[in-house]
Amino acid sequence: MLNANYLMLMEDQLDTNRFGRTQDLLERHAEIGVEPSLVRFFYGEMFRQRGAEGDRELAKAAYRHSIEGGNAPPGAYKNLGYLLLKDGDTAAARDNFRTYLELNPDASDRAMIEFYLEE
Amino acid sequence: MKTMKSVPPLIMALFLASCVTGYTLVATGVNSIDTLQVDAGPGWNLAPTFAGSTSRKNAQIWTQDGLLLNRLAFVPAVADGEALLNVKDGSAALPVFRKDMLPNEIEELAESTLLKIYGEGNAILSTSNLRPHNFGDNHGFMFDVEAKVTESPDYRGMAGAFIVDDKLYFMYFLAAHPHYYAKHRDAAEAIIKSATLATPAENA
Repeated sequence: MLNANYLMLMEDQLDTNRFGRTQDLLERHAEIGVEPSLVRFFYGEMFRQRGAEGDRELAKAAYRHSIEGGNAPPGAYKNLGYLLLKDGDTAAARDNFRTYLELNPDASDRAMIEFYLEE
Repeated sequence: MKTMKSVPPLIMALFLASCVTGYTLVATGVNSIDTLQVDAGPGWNLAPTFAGSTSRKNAQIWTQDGLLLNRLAFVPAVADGEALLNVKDGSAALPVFRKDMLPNEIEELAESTLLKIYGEGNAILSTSNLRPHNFGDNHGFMFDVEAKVTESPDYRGMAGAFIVDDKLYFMYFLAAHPHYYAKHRDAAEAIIKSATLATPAENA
């Protein structure tokens, strides 16, 4: 329950497009012991959406770090897949997309992910 | 006691726009909005532009019952580095379009932009059902939108988008839920799905 609410709150925070504030929040969340895989996932989201020079690599590293932590949300696989797709690493992107759908079989964006799996 | 300060500026702009006369009936059939073409059904009205509008110069907003109740917006030819809205105030923190954006990123761009329309801190935006859709010969995608707005009805709608020649063509419908959304959803979705680009000959 806490994790679900945390996901919702941080997604709303990302929608504000205010990345400095988001980074401050994530630093505090790490300090107070919020599940590390979730904090790392949102670091990935922040870097990916900010899109400054070098952010794509930082985002991929954050998603991988989140996944290594063992409690990554399915979106970590999906958005790592999208970044790998941009890199031209289609095989690795598809592996991550498949894992995303395995973990989240009722994903509302299944049709979009399947489009990239079949493309 | 409520003061005018509590009204988000972009919502106020929409309200002022709705007070201005000058709505014109949209002709049924094919309509051109810049290089974008859509097939309109009956009953849509083109909202007037006005000083202070946050719409881009070449964008259009249509409505059936007034902008606070429903709106169908067309934002054509957004170039790399540009925002979906025309807001000069840098403090708005508007996200910008990048030509290499994938569908999930356009979805996030739309979510963040629409949040600014309703007023940051006054609304929660969410999107879902990202799905492929071909707009004519162009690969694109659609997704659904929900907005929970403070002291306002909820809004629901959908958006469609595609990228051609590094430019984004973005359309969305939002209406007060449940009545106006249910009333105009099918008609609005059909118009969005009909979107294509004018051929060079048509555009000349």
